[in-house]
Amino acid sequence: MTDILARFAAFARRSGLARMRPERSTGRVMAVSVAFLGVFALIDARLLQLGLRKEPPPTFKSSIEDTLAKPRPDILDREGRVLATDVMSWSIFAEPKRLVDKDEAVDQLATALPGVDSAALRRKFDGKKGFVWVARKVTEKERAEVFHLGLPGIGFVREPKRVYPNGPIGAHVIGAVNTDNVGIAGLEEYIDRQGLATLRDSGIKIRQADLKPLVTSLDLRATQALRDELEWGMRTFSPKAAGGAIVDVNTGEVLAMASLPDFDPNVPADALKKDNIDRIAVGTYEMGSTFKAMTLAMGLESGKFTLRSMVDARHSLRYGRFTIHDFEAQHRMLSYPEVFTFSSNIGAAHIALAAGVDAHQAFLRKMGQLTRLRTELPESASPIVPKHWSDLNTITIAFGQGINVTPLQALMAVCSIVNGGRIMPPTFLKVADPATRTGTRVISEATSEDMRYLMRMNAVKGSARKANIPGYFVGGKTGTADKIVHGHYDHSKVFTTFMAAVPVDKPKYLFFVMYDQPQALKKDGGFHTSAYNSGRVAGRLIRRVLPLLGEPPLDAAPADPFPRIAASGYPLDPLALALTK
Amino acid sequence: MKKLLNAVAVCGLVASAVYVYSIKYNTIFYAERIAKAKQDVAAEEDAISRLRTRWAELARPERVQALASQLLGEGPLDLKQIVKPQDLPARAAAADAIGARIEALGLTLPSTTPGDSAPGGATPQNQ
Repeated sequence: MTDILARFAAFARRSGLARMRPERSTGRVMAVSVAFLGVFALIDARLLQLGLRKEPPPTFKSSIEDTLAKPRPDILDREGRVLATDVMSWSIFAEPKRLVDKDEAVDQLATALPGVDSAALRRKFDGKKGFVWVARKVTEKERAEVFHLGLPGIGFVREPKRVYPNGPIGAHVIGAVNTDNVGIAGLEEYIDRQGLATLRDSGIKIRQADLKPLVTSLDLRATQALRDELEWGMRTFSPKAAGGAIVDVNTGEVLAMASLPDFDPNVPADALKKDNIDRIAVGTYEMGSTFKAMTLAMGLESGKFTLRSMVDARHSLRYGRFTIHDFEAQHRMLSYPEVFTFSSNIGAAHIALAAGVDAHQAFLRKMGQLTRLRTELPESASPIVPKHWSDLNTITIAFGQGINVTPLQALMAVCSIVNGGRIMPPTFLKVADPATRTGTRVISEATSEDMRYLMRMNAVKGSARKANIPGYFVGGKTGTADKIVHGHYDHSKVFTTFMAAVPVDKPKYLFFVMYDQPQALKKDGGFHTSAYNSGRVAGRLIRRVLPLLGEPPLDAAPADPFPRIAASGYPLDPLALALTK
Repeated sequence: MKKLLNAVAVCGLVASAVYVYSIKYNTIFYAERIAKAKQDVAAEEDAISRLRTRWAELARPERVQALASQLLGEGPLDLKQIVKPQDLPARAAAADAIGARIEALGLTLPSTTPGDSAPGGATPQNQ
């Protein structure tokens, strides 16, 4: 036994088998250990890296989800009725590389999906892309049909689709979205600007239920009634365009707004057509006699005039080579209320001249007529204001010519004139606490009351009689402006507006109607001034909308509707105090 | 003694393994139920939003107006149609319409049978 071991040891020594002696092999063992450690360290590091990664690695499914439309909050009217909402729908995609027979697939898909252009689809399938959309947001029926075709390489994903159940009602306020559910107009664009876009780009998964609905100031029923009545006017007077709004004068909330022609937000491409612009917020017009209300308020506010003042309207007003005429020329001294009820251009010009160019400009600036009005809507327009403001500019602007403003801007000013003198930008979002909407004082309470009396007088004796609906205490002002054709005012083409405040002793609502180039009716004796079109529509609107807003007709006239004027001993017209039956 | 302890330990081990596995499978079971419930909730939410949209489409004022004017011949509300509660006429005295009808038939009167020779009997007399 010992012999064998000794012989083996000798053999091992000779052949080098026992060379691994610790004192001689430490270096090699160390090298191997370090190599192993290194490899394992690398593996650990990679594991750690994978573990610390925030996003999952890009897969086919997640890359589709990135391109999908993202959910949006609902848009509601002030009573909680749905104006815009998301509905889940299906989108169909294809992976062209997995398609067995591209021609057959195109044929079958085009049959199942009538909206798909087969030539375009064939080109998409021949492209290099691994993923193409076949159809976005199809109906459940179409999805089922494509599903039953059983084509390999065709897949389905769920995607929210924006739906506007009311079609064009309130379209200009609501706006529209594109295929990817990104707002392109109106409050839809406002929502994106308010942080939804940032949230979407951050990659955080948004659920529709987590988004707080946007409650607008609109009243759906009032908006529909407004649009319906404006359309009646479009049919009756064949104008080029129409617009209207109903505003809460105390909070500046826009309860209804419409502009015709309009669009259906379910067809978003129409939203950006030039003819479909929002004429109330973006169109700029010479507002005509509506500006007289501002001129007369300025006269009263300056202290140079009172309701008892007489204004010279005996002769046409000459300025250089221009002569200012009155439409219903009286050729006599007019009382202050008569300047308003006869809508005297000469009277308004005299009042503005008495205040002076600087004061006139400052007053209009205070009333927000010289700067761009911005609201929640992304659409806005700058007023067109004369660069060099001379006496002549003051004369024409006093009766609303030579300055173009947006109707919304003019509405804001008239709201402040009737609501006690507080100006505030109109809002399209529901005001939770009306006490927060105090606005900025621009005229005194007394001036506001005087102006309300003038508007009431105009409704019982002046041009606003067609809107003096029995049972309501209405005050109103017509506006008819000749349109400029080739640099000259053309009497046959007019732009008419109508503003009515109800109830005028303590106004709640301001009604506004405008028509661009309305035609005269034979039964109206060929008149196309405001009273015959805008005024008539405003009357129909007051009659129809006030009950909807919870304002039943009154039994009796309000007691002491103009307390300050009565206290001053001014002889109030009994007709203006009585309720029209 | 040692054998007994071993047996107890083995039993304990087996029991704890069973317990752990039962918890594990329960967890999977509940996780599946949660996933199912989440799917159901999502499906219900979808259905609610679809129905809400459908309702909004059906009840939109424009459509109701068209239906009312075409099918019922109704127009917009007239202001004369609005009355205050105190303007309503007083409620009419309660009337028993069915009772009055029965009385008019004369069924509450004493009946006259044919055999009766009462004057003015209901049955014609053959002479």
